[in-house]
Amino acid sequence: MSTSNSLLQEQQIISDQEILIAFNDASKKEKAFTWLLHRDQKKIYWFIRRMVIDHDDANDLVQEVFIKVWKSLAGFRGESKITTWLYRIASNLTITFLEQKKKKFSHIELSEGDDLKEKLYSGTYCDGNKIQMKLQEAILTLPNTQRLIFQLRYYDELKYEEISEITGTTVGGLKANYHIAAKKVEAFIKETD
Amino acid sequence: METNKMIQVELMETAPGLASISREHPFKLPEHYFEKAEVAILESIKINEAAKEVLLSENKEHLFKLPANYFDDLPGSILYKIKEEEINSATSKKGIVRFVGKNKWWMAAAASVLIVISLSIFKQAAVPSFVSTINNDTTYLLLESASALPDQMVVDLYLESQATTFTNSVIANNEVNYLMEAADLNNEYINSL
Repeated sequence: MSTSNSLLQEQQIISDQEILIAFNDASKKEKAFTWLLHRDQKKIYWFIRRMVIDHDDANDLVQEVFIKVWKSLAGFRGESKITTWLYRIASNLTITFLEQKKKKFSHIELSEGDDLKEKLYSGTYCDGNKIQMKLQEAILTLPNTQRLIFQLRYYDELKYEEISEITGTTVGGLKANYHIAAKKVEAFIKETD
Repeated sequence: METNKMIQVELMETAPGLASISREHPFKLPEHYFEKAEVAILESIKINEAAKEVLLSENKEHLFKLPANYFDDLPGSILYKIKEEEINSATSKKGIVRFVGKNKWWMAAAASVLIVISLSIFKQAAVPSFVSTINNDTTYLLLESASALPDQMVVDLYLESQATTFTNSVIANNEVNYLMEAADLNNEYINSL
């Protein structure tokens, strides 16, 4: 157990450079990819999970992200960190998924937000205290793009420059969006208390 | 770590109520999810790779056999077919023109006979339906000129109106009565015929 932990720690601090060199060596390709999975899959999973709420949807999207990464990592030019690139892929797939969901609900009274809220309260893998649930419910009132920015700053604690690389929005725009989102979330919690 | 503090300070300034809430979320995971997810992702990648290998395999062109020199002979046989079709279409066009040219007087006579027969059939079929749909204005005109009609024609119209239903008769029964009055005829005269 301790060996496995130390191995995991070693893999967690493995650099982008090492992963890329190993990935481009056919004999180490799979190993390099496993390092990457060990290092980044949790971050990506939790980011997606907080956006889509449902575990099964998050699981599908995480798999999709990493399959895309496997296909394109050899051509990765290293202009950003691999993790930032992973977040970008995950953001695009998640927003597309949520937009499709919105279209699906466009012709019935239930909205995509209502559906996510229902999943929050009835989902198999959701079980928090009153405050935790209310906070999630408040975050769900935000528009998808604003919610994404809020999650990346509030939970993933990314720098605005990194979020800018992920979303393609200016730092100024991100700051304004985060500020508005935080105010909205706080107001929702106060109003419904 | 510095970023975490900065984010917290920023949140304290923007939304102090939100900053005081714990960031723990209510989402749970199936047991050993990340280990299983890693295996599942690698499995899907392997399946995709295997499928790709089959598709890109050099063996694929040996799945089907070809006749000897097939591709060498193919252009020649295609050109031969094109020429053959051109000749056939030219011959069939000439044939039609020659047939019409040789037999034009005979064909013109046949067409004339056909037109005459068709017209006579149309006339026979069209008259009753035309008469049966005679409108009120026509009936009025007929009544106006009744005194000028030969007695026998008025009598014939009367007898026809008695023998047929309203919809099939040339004019309605009551109209025939007016017609008879206008022509100075009466039932006694009709009965004496």
